[in-house]
Amino acid sequence: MAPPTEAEYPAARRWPPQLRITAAVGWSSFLAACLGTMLVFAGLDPQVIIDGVEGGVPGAAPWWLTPTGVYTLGFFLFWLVAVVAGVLTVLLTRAPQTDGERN
Amino acid sequence: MNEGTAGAEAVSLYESHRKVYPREVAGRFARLRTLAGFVLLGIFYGLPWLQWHGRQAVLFDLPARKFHIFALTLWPQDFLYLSWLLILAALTLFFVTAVAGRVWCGYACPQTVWTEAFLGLERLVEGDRPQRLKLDKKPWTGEWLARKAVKQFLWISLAALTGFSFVAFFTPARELAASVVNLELGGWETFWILFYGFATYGNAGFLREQVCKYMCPYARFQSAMFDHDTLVVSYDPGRGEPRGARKKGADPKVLGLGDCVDCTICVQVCPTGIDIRKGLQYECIACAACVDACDDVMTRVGYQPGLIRYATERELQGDKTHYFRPRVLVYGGLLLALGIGFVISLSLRQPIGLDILRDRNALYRVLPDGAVENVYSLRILNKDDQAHRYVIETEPVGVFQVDAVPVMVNAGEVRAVPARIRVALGDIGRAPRDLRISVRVADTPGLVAQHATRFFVPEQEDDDDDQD
Repeated sequence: MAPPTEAEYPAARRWPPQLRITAAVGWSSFLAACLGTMLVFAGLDPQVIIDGVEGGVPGAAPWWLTPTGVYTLGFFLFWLVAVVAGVLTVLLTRAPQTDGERN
Repeated sequence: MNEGTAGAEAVSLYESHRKVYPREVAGRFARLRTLAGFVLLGIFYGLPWLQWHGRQAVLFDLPARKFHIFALTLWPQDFLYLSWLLILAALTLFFVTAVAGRVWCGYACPQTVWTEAFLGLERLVEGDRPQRLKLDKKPWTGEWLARKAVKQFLWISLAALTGFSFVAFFTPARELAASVVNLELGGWETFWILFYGFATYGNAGFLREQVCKYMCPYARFQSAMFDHDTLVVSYDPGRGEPRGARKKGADPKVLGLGDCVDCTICVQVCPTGIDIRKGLQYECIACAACVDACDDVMTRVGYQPGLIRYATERELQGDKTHYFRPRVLVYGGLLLALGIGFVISLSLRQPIGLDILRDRNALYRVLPDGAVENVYSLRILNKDDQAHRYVIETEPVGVFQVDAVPVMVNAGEVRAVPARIRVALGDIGRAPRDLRISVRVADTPGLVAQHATRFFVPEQEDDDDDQD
């Protein structure tokens, strides 16, 4: 780790645009993932998924497939999906201006 | 908003921070912030250890799908209450923002609270800002390494404790602590402790105010709740301008100056690096560090404090602040109505739940004596915080005979009970096809949960549509 500079707190630091966009996409998709996880798992019991994988043989599911595991994987899946949406939004809003729009 | 005459000193704040190293902010708002921080962190770290009737007082038991909040146990069926609570929280935020600006940001936001905690540890180990800067001028020396190592140790410890406490809201704290001590921590618990700990370390140790500036959605939309009567941290340009340096004891009136001595300390103490004298900006998290700093300067030069203070725009213009205005009344009224509704609904909530599943193997069974029997699987939820005995009945009574003994269900548990319901041979013709199964709490009169279901009988010549 590089030694801290004068630019450290409480001095104001400014982030370059790339970092700002990364942070904005990462954080907004994180919040969306929290909401998605809450809504979906309020109605869906992870045990249903585990039972489905086990197919009637208790203990057949891999060790990581526990209720907590399903919640966790669900959360990260939501996060990933939301990041895709965020990245695409950034991409589309940065589309170059066309001749048609300039008129 | 209240734009000051600040055009002349458009110097880079970044540079000015390199030259002037401000002392720590002390004052009544700094004390209030510290107090709020201690109270909130105390709640966060302490709550998982609090017990209530033999279980953890606040436990969001996700694997068992029930949330314990003191006497209350919420089930997935109570999702409405959770959404309701979130709406109430949002409305409270709107209401408080309309009245008093961003007090949430300044005093209660986890980002602020943990940043303050990490800063506190930094000051403890590396000293105040001049000492820190002096230290950093000679990196990789023995003292530098030692202080940095101690700081990192404290930061990582606090982050790890934070991660542990977070997981302890979802996994019983005592069991979790025991498994940490015995090195038997489960894979997912380990993952979440590390993940949350790492997030705390990154957010509070390094990202800090950048989260407010570049990542927080509330920072962007809070201005929609603002109006001219909202209490915000403001610089009083009428009193301060024209600003300028002066000798101690000089009469500002003679010099044609206002009260602002242009010491720029308000800029130097600002964690987001704005100049409050330029008016309200979205970066301002209402931490009031500039209020404390300016009050200190004003007192020392012998002026009245309050050049920078919590004030409304209307007040600065010399008018009276309107506290009861439509915006506040609407937010407040909604908040009150939803809050009262929430409490009433929660207190009227039936502490009993019932699900009915039909036996999947056979629709009905004909017994040797000609009676017809249907088998149901009942799931009885005891949402109460004490055990109850439940009696299973049918409606209409009379033709249906229930073969199920009363069952005990412990507090906050679900119990699956088979119920055989029978109709005697002679009654089959007059038995209705729709019935309701009810579960009555034996020791509490009037407490009943009901569920509608179907009763199937063998196909008969005059009635052949009942097995649809």
